[in-house]
Amino acid sequence: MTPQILIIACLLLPVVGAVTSMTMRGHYAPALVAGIISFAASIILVVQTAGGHVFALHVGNWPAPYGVVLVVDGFAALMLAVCQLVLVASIIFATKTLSARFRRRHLYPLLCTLGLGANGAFLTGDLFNLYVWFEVLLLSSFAIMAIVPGKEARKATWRYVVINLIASLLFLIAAGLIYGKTGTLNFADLHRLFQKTEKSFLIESSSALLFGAFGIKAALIPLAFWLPRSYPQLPPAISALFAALLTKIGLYALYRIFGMVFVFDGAFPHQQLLFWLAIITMMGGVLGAVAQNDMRRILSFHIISQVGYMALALAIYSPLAISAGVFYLIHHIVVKGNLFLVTGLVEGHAGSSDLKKVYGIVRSSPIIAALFAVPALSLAGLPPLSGFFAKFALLKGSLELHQWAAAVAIISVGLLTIFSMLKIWSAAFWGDDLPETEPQPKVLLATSGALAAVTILLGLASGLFFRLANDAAHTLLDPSAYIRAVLGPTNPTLP
Amino acid sequence: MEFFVAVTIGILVAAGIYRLLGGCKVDIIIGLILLSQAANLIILASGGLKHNASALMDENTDPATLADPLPQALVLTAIVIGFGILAFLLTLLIRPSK
Repeated sequence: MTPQILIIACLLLPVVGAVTSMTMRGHYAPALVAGIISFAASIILVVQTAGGHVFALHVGNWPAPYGVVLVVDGFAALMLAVCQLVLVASIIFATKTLSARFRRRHLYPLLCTLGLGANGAFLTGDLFNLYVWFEVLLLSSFAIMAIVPGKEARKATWRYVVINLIASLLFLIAAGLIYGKTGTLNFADLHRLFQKTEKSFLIESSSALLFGAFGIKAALIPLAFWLPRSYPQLPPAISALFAALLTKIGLYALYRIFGMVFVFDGAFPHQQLLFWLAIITMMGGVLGAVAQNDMRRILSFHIISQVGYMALALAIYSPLAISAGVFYLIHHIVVKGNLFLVTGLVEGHAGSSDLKKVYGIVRSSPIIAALFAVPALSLAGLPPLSGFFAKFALLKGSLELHQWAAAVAIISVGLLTIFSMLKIWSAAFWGDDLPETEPQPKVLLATSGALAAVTILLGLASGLFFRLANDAAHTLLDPSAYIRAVLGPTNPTLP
Repeated sequence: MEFFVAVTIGILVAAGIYRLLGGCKVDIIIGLILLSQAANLIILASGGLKHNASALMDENTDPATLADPLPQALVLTAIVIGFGILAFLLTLLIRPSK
């Protein structure tokens, strides 16, 4: 199959899934099938893009800088694959753990369109088109959040909607200004243009707006306070998807825009700012987590702290650090999604995720304990799990460039992460038997187990996955293959 | 022409931010609407403003006299998205509290 067909499949399948599910009164099966087939398609794309190949689809056959172009490179393909994986797991969890209210209000079509927005954001090669995909993604997530009943959830929805709309407006204004200054919105064309520009001064004001927009979406610390106030209100099946995907798509946009497009002489605007914000985000997130007493809240703060790691990888901006960052993104999406799903299992099993009320799960259900231990230890960075290799490569990248502050932050935040994971472990999993427990459905245990297996696989076969991440990082840092795929071999010049 | 559009954008952004900081939900919605109108104007102005110029291509006309069609296409998309979001925000505002 040609990559172009697979690109279309990744965008068309969620639409078909959403429409079919709507005609079946919100049944989950079409969404699940669409998710599984797009997962298969994205795995084939990962294989085809391995080795630094880039494929472009010129939509409507418009030549490149004028029309919308969809591009798949190693980075986009890897992100597509893990995104579908978590989406499928979350749909399976939603079928078993959520009330009929969610199905009546079209949860599964909305999950499909959420996946559509994510896939589009990964595949697009155009700044304004990226904005449109972000809106598809955001509106689906707004609607899903608005289903959750309860006063606190309504407040959380409002906060989430307003802050994200402000971010979108910043993005839109930046897109307008960049078009006014450069006359193009195509990533490849912008990159080519910036290579010829001597000064980044004019473009820096617009890129500051983009930085703010993606910073809010990725939850970098001065812009992250919406996250721990809204995510814990969501049921775990949904918060797993949100936690795994939404901030990471903000990070993907940061990598794509600042890592590849807005590059002037081997550096991008606001690189130093991103470096320090990343360190503050790592520290602030993990310290916030230490102070919490509920699994959902602890894990929400850990999202922020881990976002810091990935932003730091971008800010260090060496080939090794970017490879580490790409590997970290893949590892983190799987692990974070799984941790929230296990929180759902704990809630179903013991009736709460409050660490003061839950204890002794090791005795009542050793399987859930094991399912928690794998992603938790991986998040903390213990070998041989995937988190260790991600952190190790990032540490090596920072030491190579003598970034001592970054190295200290990586190690100390890792230790604090272990501390707060141990806090969950000793409170919820050790102790006396719980008086009442519910056995959990086998499907859910198997789903969570499959994600845990992926975590172990990412660790054990880290050589293979690191090679893929390395190829992805190379295409980001040296996008000549990307430009050739998008603009053609002749490099047409603009009038 | 550019001057007036620039001043309008400035006023819209200022008024939008003022309303956004108002605190109550209706204020926030009005602020977001004003800001999104400012963003739309920025996109429209980014292609350069020409008096009475059409965006339609014709082989005989000189391209320099034509308006840039791309910002017009972009701003249409942005307006539609902004409209959808406004509808969603109003639904959030009026939905019964139970």
